[in-house]
Amino acid sequence: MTDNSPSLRSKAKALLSLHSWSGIILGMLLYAVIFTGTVAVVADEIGEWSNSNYHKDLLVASDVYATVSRLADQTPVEYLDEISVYENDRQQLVYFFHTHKQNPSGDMDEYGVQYLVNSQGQTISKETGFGSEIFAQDDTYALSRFLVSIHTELHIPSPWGLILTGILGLAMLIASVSGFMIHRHLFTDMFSIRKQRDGQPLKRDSHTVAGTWSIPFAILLAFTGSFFSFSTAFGLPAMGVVAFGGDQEALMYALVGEQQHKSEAPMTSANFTSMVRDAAARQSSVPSYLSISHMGTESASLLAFFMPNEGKVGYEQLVYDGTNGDFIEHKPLVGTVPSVSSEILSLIYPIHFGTFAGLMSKIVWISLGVAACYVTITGLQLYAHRNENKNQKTANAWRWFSRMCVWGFYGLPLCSLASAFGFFVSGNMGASQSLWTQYSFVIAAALISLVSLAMKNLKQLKILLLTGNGIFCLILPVLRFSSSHVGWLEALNYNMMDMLFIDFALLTCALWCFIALHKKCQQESQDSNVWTPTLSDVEVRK
Amino acid sequence: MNHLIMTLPFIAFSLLVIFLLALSDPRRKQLSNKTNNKTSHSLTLSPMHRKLLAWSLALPFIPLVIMSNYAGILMYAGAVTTIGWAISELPSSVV
Amino acid sequence: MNTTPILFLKNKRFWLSGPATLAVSLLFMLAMAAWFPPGIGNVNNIMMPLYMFPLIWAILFFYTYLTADLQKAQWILGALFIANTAILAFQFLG
Repeated sequence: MTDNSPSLRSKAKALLSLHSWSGIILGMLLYAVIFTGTVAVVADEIGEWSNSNYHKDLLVASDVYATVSRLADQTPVEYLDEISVYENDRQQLVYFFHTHKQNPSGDMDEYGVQYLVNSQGQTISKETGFGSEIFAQDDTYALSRFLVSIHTELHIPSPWGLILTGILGLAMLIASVSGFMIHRHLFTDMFSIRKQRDGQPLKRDSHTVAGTWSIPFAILLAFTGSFFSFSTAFGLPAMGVVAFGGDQEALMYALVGEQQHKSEAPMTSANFTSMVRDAAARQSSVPSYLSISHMGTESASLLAFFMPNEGKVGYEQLVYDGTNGDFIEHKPLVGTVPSVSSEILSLIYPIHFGTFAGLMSKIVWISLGVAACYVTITGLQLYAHRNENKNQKTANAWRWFSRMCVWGFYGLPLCSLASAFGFFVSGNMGASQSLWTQYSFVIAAALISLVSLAMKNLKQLKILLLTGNGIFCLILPVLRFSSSHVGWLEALNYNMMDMLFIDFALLTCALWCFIALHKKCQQESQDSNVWTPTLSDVEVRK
Repeated sequence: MNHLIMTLPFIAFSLLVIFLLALSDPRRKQLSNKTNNKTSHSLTLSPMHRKLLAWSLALPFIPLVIMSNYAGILMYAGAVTTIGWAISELPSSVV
Repeated sequence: MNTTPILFLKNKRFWLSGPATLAVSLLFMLAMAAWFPPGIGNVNNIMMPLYMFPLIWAILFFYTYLTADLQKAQWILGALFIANTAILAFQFLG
């Protein structure tokens, strides 16, 4: 970025410099976001797996109307503004009676009473508070929530985490576009990977081939990702300032597509249960959640939210008149009537999340994520390796960079696996799973960092971390079984595909780790040891 | 789900086409001959045929668009990306 | 790339592709909320600028980073800055 003289400055050189520096500076964080993004594709499945659960479709099977009416009698009237209902990952229905107000951090939030109701219709628990707080303490989602939050904001306080991931999205956009512009023989080199003398593929070729194939999706994912980050961090509030003169509530109503002031005249609501069953019949599937607004007034309505089905990519929202139970409309994602922006938004979601065709699309999206991880890893290794050999002066610094690569690339998956380990162990011991999922991640990260600093031989460090990953992948399905006693036969019996999928995915990863380990050990026995710096070496020199 | 099972034949087709493209790739062959003399793949296609083959990867989009199976279009595009990457990564002794 | 780290602060291109591009694309996004037609759904003027922001930023960034004519790039960014500030000023004051 610094070479200014026009004679020296060829565009290709400038682009290469941009490509490599954006990679070197932000590559490791980008890897963290891409890796956890790949995991986040199956966040719902991880939720089901971590609780050994399968959905009982309680929203349709149980009498929602009877329960809502019963709970409404026990709830302060101001929280009847809106009631959201969904089935959690422990075969319970969550009823959240709430109104909207600002939380202590100044954001618009939901505030009210949350009831947990089991499949027999008994109330198990009752909690009052802000929606975001209640969700953050919910042990059911402890594992999936923790992993997704690394992807969306790297666990950095709002809005800074979101801004950082937004910047990482832009960096990925830069890296993919500049990578595309640098490469002159895009189509001729699409299949060619040269071999090194030891039979390993050349890193540069692996990087370009994987990069070339994944360019279109890398650009799309980076673009949609930075849209999500920036619009939640500051975009939407800023739009509220410009378009609504700072009235954030008016902005919210415009987006949700609702009148701001509705008639509150009392009127008995119709049977919600039959509306839900009608919606389920229309969509031939079960809604993911319900939202009942202004219950018991003449502006009562029910919204049923569905995941995309039958070849469609967008979510479906069916709205019913709460006073007489009539079906009103398929509501767009934003606004009251279909518009270009709601069409675009309903495309952005499936493109980024890959959640438009159940496990099939998720498997494809995971592979896209793995490819993007591979591009990042090979890219960083390439620079570390090249500069170690080329530049004698800075060779030592680049050796530290290689060490950091090993620490990050093998360490992050290991820490994520450790957080799942913490989730199960704390669950078995009756401790807070929300806390111990986080603690286990941090403890694992600290241990891995120490080992990475102390271990002299980089190849042995790689082997150690790889072994750790493999062992944890093997342990986790066993641990899940020991905490829930739900075996594979029972799972097949109840058609628990999500749980089986994660179990088998972990076993596949374990197998893959051990194959890689076997290869590395073979290679290790052939090579002589190469010196790389460690903390103890630095101390000796001092 | 039916709409998605419909994309499976297209994905299988793309697997075959990409496999053929990799097998007949002149540059890949040249590079693998340099390091490994044992490979004796005899599939050679003219550049014209290779170009046609590559364009045929876009053919499944036509029926998918006609059926307005947008989920299928996204699935197919994602699958082509990953299949392409996976096949190029295969060692030259296989492809 | 091969100069000392602090030198890039003296580089005009750094300031243009970095802070200036960011500021101009943010302003562009904000001003767009004022002039973009809301449509019948009444939401296009809110959502479209948010979709466009990464796009506008990327276009301006690659343009200022790759152009040989820094002077022209500077004028274009300046003009965009003034135009969008004027739109915003009109929105809030007018």
